[in-house]
Amino acid sequence: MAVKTILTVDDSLIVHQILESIMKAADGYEIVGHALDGVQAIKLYAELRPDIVLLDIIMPEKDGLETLAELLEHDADAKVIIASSYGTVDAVEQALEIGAKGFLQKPFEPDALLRLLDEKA
Amino acid sequence: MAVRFFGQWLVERGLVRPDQLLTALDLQKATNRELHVFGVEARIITQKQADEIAQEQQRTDRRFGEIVKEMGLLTEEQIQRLSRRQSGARMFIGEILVQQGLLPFQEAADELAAFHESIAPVEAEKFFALENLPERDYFNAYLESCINIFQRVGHRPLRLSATEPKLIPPQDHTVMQIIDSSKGSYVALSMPSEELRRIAECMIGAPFVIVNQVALEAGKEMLNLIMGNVAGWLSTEGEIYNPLPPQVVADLSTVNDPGNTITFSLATPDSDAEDARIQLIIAYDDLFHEAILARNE
Repeated sequence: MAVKTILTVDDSLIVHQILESIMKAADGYEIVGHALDGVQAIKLYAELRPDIVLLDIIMPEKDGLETLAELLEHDADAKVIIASSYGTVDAVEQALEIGAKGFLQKPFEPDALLRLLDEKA
Repeated sequence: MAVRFFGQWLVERGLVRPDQLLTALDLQKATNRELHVFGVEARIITQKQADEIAQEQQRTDRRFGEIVKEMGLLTEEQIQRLSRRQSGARMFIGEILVQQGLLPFQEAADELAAFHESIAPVEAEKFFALENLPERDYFNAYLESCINIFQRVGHRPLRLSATEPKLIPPQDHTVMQIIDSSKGSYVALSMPSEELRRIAECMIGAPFVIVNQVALEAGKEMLNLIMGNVAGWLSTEGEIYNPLPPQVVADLSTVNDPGNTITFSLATPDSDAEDARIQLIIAYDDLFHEAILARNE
């Protein structure tokens, strides 16, 4: 089975480390890039063309929903899953309306994330 | 009776004159941002809609509320909420006095710390009377989120402690804070640095010797999780929450003072007796306080 590549986008270093440890323990996924904000995310997406993006909402400079919209402008086929602690109905609806493939509220269990990745990636 | 407002405190201590305070209050009013800016921040109108509204206001000199209702964009309740936020999101009075050269920065910071200590008896009374507070559902949501996240992520059972909260966090504590950009209020979490190290180890599954940058990131993420999970409940109560990314702060005197704070002490399993180790601090302005009371009627 081909390994799916992931770009993680979150302003928290610890979230990147947690995601890294989840993916290392799982089969079939490899994190190829980490972005700490939306601006970096757009740049890395263009360079790395990952299969999927895991994207936080609350970030400095450019928030996740703005970043999501911009990513999809550059690549309408981009697969983006929102992974955020910010769990309001509005945020979920907005994200899905803009074009996110899924929404996972933090803190999530590793299995829940992997199931969603299997489904959407 | 404790002085309620910081500006009042400064006048009573002879540090600013009443006319200087009045000027500062006028300047504070002048820092109001337009309602359409609050609307965008609250994500109930888009930037494009805000630009259209601003243009229409300039063209016709009509009020924001009239225009958005005509455009079918917002309800009366939403307009009122934005107005309340606009009133509440003014600059901190101490900051204005410092900018005007009327009060040295360090003196403003020292006086703010003393002001907070002076209102301690009221804070303690609020704390012990949690059950009787009209805002108890609101605060309970925060407490439940905090306790839930510490259990799930930090593997740390917490309980509400009966000890009096420490309004100025002790020296060995790390304080993390999230500011709500639309309300100018904040929520903060204070914990011993040792506790922070333990939480970070739990999240990553690797040992830390000292509280380094990654451990601080773990603390910020804990607060982020607590607040994000409360935001869901807040939104069902019609309260839009616009957080800025969490920050580690030196102390709470560096932020805008919305006028009211409540501090909850939480005991951890290894606390001696009822010694509180973790504190959750919630700050909110008078308008928000009134909105909570009105919702409970």
